[in-house]
Amino acid sequence: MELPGYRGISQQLLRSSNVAVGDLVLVRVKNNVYEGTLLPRYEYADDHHIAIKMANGYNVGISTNNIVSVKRIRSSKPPKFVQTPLASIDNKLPRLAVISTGGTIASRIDYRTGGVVPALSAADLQSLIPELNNEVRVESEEILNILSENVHPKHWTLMAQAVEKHVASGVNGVVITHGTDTMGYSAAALSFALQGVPIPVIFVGSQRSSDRPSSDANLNLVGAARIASLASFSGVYVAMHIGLSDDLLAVHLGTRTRKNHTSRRDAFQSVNSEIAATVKDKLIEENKLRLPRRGSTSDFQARSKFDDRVALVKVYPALDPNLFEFLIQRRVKGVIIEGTGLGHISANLHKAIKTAIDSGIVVGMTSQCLWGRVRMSVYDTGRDLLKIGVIPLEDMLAETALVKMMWVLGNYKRPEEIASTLVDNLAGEISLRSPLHVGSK
Amino acid sequence: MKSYDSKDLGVKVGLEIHQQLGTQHKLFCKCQTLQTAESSPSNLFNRRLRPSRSEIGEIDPAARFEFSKNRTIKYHGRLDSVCLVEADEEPPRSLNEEALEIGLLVALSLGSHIVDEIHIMRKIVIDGSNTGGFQRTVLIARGGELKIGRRSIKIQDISIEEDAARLLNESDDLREFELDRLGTPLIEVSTAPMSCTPEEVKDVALAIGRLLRSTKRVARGIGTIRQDVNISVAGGPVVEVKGVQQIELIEKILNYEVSRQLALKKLVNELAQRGITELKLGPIINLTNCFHSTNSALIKKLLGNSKEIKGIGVSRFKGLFNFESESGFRLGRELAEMARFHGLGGIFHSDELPQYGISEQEVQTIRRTLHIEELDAFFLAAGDPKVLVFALNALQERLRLAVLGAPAETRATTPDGTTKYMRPKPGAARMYPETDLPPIEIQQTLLSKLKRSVPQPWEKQLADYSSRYGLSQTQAEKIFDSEDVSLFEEIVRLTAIAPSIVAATITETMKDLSRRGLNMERLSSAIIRELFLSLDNGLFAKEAISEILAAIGNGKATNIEEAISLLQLHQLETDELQQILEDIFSKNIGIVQNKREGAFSILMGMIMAKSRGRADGALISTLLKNKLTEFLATSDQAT
Repeated sequence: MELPGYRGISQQLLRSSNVAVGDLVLVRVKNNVYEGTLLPRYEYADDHHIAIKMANGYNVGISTNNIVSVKRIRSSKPPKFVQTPLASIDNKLPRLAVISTGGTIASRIDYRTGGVVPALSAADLQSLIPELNNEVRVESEEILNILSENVHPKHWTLMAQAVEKHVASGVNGVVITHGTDTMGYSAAALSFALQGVPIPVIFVGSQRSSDRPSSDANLNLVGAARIASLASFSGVYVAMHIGLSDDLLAVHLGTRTRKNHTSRRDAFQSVNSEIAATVKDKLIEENKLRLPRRGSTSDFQARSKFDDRVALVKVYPALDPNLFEFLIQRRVKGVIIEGTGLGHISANLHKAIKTAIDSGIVVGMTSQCLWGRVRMSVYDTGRDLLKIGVIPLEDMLAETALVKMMWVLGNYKRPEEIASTLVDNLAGEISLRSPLHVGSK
Repeated sequence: MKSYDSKDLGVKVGLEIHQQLGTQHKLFCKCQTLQTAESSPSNLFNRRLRPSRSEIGEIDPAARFEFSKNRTIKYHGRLDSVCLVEADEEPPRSLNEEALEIGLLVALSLGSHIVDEIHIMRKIVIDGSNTGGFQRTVLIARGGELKIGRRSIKIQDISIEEDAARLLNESDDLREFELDRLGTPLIEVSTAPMSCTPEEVKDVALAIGRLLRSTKRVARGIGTIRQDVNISVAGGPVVEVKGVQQIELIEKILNYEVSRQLALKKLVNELAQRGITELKLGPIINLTNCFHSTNSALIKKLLGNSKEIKGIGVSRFKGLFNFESESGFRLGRELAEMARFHGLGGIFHSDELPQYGISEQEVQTIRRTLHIEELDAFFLAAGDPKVLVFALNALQERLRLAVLGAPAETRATTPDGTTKYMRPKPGAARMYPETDLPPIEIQQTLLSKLKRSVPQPWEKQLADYSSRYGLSQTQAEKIFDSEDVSLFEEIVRLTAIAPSIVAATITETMKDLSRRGLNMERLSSAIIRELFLSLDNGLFAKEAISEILAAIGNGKATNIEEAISLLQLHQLETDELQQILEDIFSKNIGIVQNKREGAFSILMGMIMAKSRGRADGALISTLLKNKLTEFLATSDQAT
């Protein structure tokens, strides 16, 4: 008997009535009758209601206290998502790899929890947005199916390896569908792991679930596919809405972007950098960032190792110096401090930081201001920190710095090499100049 | 148009009453429901909507249809009445508890069965009227009944839902909406199918409206209540007619729709007599070349701008496009309406040709090109190639349904009480759960609390009302049904003016002024309030009310003060009035001598006319009575 989500009283009642989810049932209650399809129950819902979908499309919950009887009218299969068959595709079209990892862009309702969960594979998306088939030959691959808050550095390695494989197979571009929560981290990670990648690798997500007609998923996905297959530049980027209208997309550098709003479709912004390009319909307009051009795909190699023994510490009033003790004990190898202002941290922590550095931990400084560059020679605090050995990380985003630290520690061993690579501009994450027109909004 | 006989024809009518609730906030956000007009609306964002699948992977036919129109949707709004929730840029806040309470109160007063655990659903509507592409709706109760006199009307469902955005403009590729109404809570009360006359249906609508208003927690005013009417004839499919704003139109629409459905049913009989149970339609064929040397100015015009003419043959259909029942409905007209809906100018069909400059010879060429016989029919249309094929496909689909009578579809009302094609009827696949919000258990404690505040029946409230304010039954009813009930109560509270005068002004005088074609928008609540405050302060006599309102209504004055001075309506001092009285009295002394006390009403009329509302009638009456008594006594003594 299939009764997903039901437990306790409601489960007993349905079991004893010999009905299963998906059955058309007649539920008699005091003074009334309900007829409808028995629905699965959300996992976090209570145990004393059963849920049915009536012929008029409404779902209702009926209290077990009021139920006189439940009878099966006819049995049927539980609700299941049906895929439409794929149309035949012109093999002169550019080849596009769509790697799906999960997230809102691929989410639909889950009766287990009642919320949305990733459930659409790249193939599902392709069938839902058929216009993609007129422009590209999609080769879809589902490597993960997780919400992005569950993404771990080991998943970055998987993503980088998948891209490497597709590059070797000669695709014209790669689209990676990803949850938006940590898409900025993953885009930064792949920017380091895929340095010199000869084709565009475009991360794309959606803020509004793809099961709603107003979802931003459609424009984002079609736009990402167009950039990946048509753009003349290469590298790792994030493509998302610019404003609230469904017309214009921004292409952000993978190392420079951040989710700056919980829900809006234009949540992603480039920080300390211009947007790399914009996309409207099929028109891709590049800004003046001197992006790398497409190149030969024959000799590309990814460097996809990450060391996850890194911590990100946000400075706040009353930050406990013992935190650094703890990090030393946990054998952390690198720490990124998200300091205040130009790159500061309270003087009562300096000793703890010195102990950490002396024990071999690499410590880098970024700013919680988001916009602007750290400059630690201005105030005494900064000078003290420099003397201790904290490395100022210029105008790098704290999240990008964290990811970079993981990548550097995964690929370099010698301390001086680690320190110099951290401040080297590898993938657009650091700029030499601070142009006037790139500021906080 | 005469009314049909509902029993003979098997007419079934279901009503859906949508009423805005008088809550402080919208249904799923904290924006106010009362729109402020402090700033003017600006274009906030533009969207494209596409159909999404229900949780079982189906796409709703109405949604698929709408998507095929490929429209951009432009949203306008004011930043102070629209937030990220209306923009569908933030998950909804929790269901407005005030709205739920009002809904439950209505359900309790109808004796409906309240749903134990309510589930918020998304009803897919991708015409742009909802930014998310769906309307949130929640079924809160089923069943119940409403007593109207001796009849009992069965209630089907009661739901709470979000109101849609207001359509501003629409063209083939663009729709524009104003967002401030979006998200306002509505209650929907639907009746079970009823078998009754149009007048009775109207009474049911009125009675449900009154029941809702009796909660005193619903919105008032134009556009706050809308009716949808579901109509079927003799077991045929149900046609949904949407958006009847004026209750007076219900009868007209019912008569129209029943005649229409009957006419299409007669066509089914005619087809059956010809032995046709399924229509045979030819393929869509390009007929542009049939007109290469046409003399028809209309065709020449239609073929300009790289347009094409395409047509379809219909086997053994001759005469049926024009087949006419006594009511004058023809299938040809239905198809033309549908063609216009799909962006064409209309259609030409074989039953009306040759005409419009199209020659008999051209008709024959068309018949040859379509490979059809003498008893076959055809229709054709001109248009942009892409639009044309899409529209002709839709017309083919529609024509095939002719063997079944009136198809189940959604129709819109027109201001003159007819209906026109709107979209295919939505299926059950249009509903799927609102994943952002968990179901809500209706607590018994809440129901027990609400049971104590179930409103009195409307009749009882009305009786109380008429006795409290000393109004007649009719007057009380008029005020109670009018949107100005709170204005009435406010004026009665603020002034010492008799409630019946206030009621008469708000209902009868205003109606009369509207009939005279005055601009009623100028006669705002503020003006009415000012009018009575001025009257209460003795600035003019109540007899001048109508004249003052007329002066403002026709634009001669902008406020009460201006109207008073314009009409020279300042109150006459008692000695001025006495002077007028003496004057009229002496000029008409003959009448007085002749008629004695009987002269009172004649003289009263003359003085009233002379003082033109600048004096209180009661005062004139007293003065005149005194004068008359005094004069008669003196003259009697003298004789």
